[in-house]
Amino acid sequence: MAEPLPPPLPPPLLSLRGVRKEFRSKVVAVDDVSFDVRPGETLGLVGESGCGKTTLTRLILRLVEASGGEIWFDGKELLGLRQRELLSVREDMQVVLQDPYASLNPRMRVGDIVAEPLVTHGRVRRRSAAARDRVAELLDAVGLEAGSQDRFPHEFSGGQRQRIGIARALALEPKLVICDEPVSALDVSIQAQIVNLMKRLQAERGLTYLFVSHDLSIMRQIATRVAVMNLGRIVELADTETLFTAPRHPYTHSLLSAAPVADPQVERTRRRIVLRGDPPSPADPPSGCSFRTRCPAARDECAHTRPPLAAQEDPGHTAACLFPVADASALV
Amino acid sequence: MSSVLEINDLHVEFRLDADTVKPVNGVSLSVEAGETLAVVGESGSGKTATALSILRLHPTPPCHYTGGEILAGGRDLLKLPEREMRAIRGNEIAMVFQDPMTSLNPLKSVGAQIAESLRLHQGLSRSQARAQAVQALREVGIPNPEQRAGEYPHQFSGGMRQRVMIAIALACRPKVLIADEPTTALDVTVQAQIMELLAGLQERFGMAIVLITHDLGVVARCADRVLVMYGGRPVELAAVDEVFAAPRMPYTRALLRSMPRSDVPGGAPLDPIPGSPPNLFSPPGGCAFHPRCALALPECSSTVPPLTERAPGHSAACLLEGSL
Repeated sequence: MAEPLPPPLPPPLLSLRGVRKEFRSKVVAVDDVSFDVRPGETLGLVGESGCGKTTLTRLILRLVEASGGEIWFDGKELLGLRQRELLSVREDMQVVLQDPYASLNPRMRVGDIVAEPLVTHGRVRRRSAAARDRVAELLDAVGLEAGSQDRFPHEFSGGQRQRIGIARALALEPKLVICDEPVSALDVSIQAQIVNLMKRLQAERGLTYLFVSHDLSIMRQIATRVAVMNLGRIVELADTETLFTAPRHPYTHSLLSAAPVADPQVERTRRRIVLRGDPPSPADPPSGCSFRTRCPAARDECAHTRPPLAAQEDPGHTAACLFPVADASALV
Repeated sequence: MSSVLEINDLHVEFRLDADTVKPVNGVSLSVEAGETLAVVGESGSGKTATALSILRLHPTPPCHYTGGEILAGGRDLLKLPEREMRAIRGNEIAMVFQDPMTSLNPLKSVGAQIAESLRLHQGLSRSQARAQAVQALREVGIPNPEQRAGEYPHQFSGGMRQRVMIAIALACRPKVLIADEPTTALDVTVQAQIMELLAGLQERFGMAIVLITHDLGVVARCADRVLVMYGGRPVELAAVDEVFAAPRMPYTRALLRSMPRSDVPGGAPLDPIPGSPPNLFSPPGGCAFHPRCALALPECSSTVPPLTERAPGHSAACLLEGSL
């Protein structure tokens, strides 16, 4: 008897193929990016400032127009859609932004802020009883009192404001929530509250997250898989535990090594990779591999060949390096 | 060793139109030559207000130093006339700020900005100061210092600008360097470079560093001793290993538990601290942490526990005795 085949993976909810963005200044902010986000998972996107991670989220939301490639979401190709069609797709795709001070209109009441997507998409009328009921449900789901509706953003702390931003993102029951550094602006003691809230909401509502952060410790706690971005390209992608315990790209090794760990004993004993020099400017990227100017393991070939994402030992693990490194101590 | 900077029971008030805010309530600390003391806290904990008070950088009004003393070189800085204070700032005690772009003058070359403090404090001639400025840039690891000294801040990357700030701060060989979130605005690989640089310069010049930060990872990597602040008060003071391994104040313990770690697998929910840090305009009575504290007793809402020594070199401000 033949063994039963494993169940096929569900089709990805979001699929990027060769996505590119070149600004008028000729800066290529996003270069040939391809990845899938599966339903119900959290795909983490990690990278340093200027690597193109925020531009990438804007391309997916079509707040910035891509220069090339395809973005498939829930069976539709987004880059070819007209504005009207785009509006209906966006009901299923919402965003939580980094700065809970700048992303809530200070002159609007919380109830109106959270109801705004519902009003825009014609689900309820502004300030109707139905709107108030729905907002009360949403505020309750993010751990805020229903009475918060009539108050203004300045009456709330940073963590509470981020809860309001999450309630607004959930109002339309989206399939995908793009989270751009949602806890980076918050105090340490509050970050864990928001991470737990986002995980709970994901489990309860079957949400899919694209989670952008520069913070590796947050990433390890929330992501299912992690993509590492450097100078506009994905340089490594793997299951979270594989990425943290068995990375292959020297850039991933150096990021992990550079991030301080809150344990003085660990800090004293671990050997760190300290990179030489500055990150290259996106306006003047190096030839070949984008990391080679700072890479402790770079060889001559790295200047000539741009390495493609290649499969590694673990299934689903890819890295864009001509000479992948298993042991970080080779880089110290 | 004797301390090069000592603060005893410092109280600072901001008298605003409608309210009086007290961001610093009874802070005491001391730091020795060659030592790094980390001052840790969340927003509103009073850590930056304390740092700026050391050099009296808060304008009066609205700021009033209402109590305590700040001792450096045998003098109380709170009693010095402004003129003498100017001879201390940037000379005996220097400061590095979080954001190197807004702290540098965009209209002056970086060499001129380093030379400025050398001419002012050390009385060097223009050409001596220029030569010293180039040397200072070399010390902080800036390549081609002769050429770079003539360039302007916008021509430097974020990490290089922070190196320039450090060069300015260390040009006059201060005894104390106050570093207020010096790596917070930087990317993680650049942050590691700057921390490495500061540690190397400290070893070479032997200055004391007061490191203001919210990042417990940075504390674990850089600090010898740690002062934890909450709601404008010092709540725990101990050697770095003690603070991480055996915290005696419930806030410190809760903060350490709530931190997501990059060296621990995910999966389990994090252990957050409920509620929010206190609002300085309406601080809670008693211990500022009691509304969020899992171990709070009824007395905690009325009694402010003083910072008392629990073991040699380890103090905590909590009504609960003993190690947690």
